[in-house]
Amino acid sequence: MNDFEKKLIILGKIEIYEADSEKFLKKFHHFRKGKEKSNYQIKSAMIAAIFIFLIGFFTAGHLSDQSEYITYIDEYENNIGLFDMGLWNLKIEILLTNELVSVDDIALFLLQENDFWTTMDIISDTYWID
Amino acid sequence: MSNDHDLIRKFQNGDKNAFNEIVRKHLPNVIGFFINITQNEIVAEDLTQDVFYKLYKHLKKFRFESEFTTYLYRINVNTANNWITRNKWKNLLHLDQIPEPRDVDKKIDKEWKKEELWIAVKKLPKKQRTVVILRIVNKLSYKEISRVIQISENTAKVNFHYALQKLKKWISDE
Repeated sequence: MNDFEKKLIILGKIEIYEADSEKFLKKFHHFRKGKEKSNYQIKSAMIAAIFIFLIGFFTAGHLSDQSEYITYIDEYENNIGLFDMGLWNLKIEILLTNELVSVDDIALFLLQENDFWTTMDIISDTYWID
Repeated sequence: MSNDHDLIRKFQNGDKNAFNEIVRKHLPNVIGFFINITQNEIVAEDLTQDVFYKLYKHLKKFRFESEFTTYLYRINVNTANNWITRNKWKNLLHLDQIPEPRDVDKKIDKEWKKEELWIAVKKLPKKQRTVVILRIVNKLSYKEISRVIQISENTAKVNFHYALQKLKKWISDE
């Protein structure tokens, strides 16, 4: 061991520090409990974040499937509404309800007028009778 | 006073007071070790808390293959190295604030040299620094150092030799 090493060892010597162990222990356990609590909170937050991410991921997946369907319907209806303005493209339910009254009336009128074949034509056109 | 292994066994069996006993027994040495390195009692106390927190978490898995003090020295030196690395830039920025050596009484002169030594030790590469700390603070033999940081005895000697050369140069240059 040379002089420099001896000098270093003298300088590096631990001076006995009179620590108040009871005060330290009190602070230590407070610190430990705080750290354990914050670790627990971090873990819980991470689990919650993963859970939210998974819910978001699956919801997005589910909604993206539906959105294609909705787009299709939407486009279909837009095409009718915007580009095909003909009477025959109006919604069939509405047409049927309105027509049922008017076709019946017309058919009765034509029968009263003895126009049998015209009556049959109207009925077959309306109800698709082959 | 019970020996460390008995206290650890008691702690592993759920006796929390056994851990407090371990703290009481080793606190002066651990805090003294960090005061030496940090030159600051508040920082030393924080680092001591970190050491005992690590012990609290890991002592349950202690396998009694080595002395408890070997295990404690390893935690001390790793904590000190982490602190030095964490504060590397901060320490570098504070180098110009070291008080200039003046004609002062012997005690202050000794303190200043101690501070100068630790600034130089902090600049050493990690392995050399670890060997120096264990050798000059904990007064461990090369054999004990090799056990604590799991290197060969010769590697410990070589690292210490190179570290001394650097320290000598840095301290004599300033």
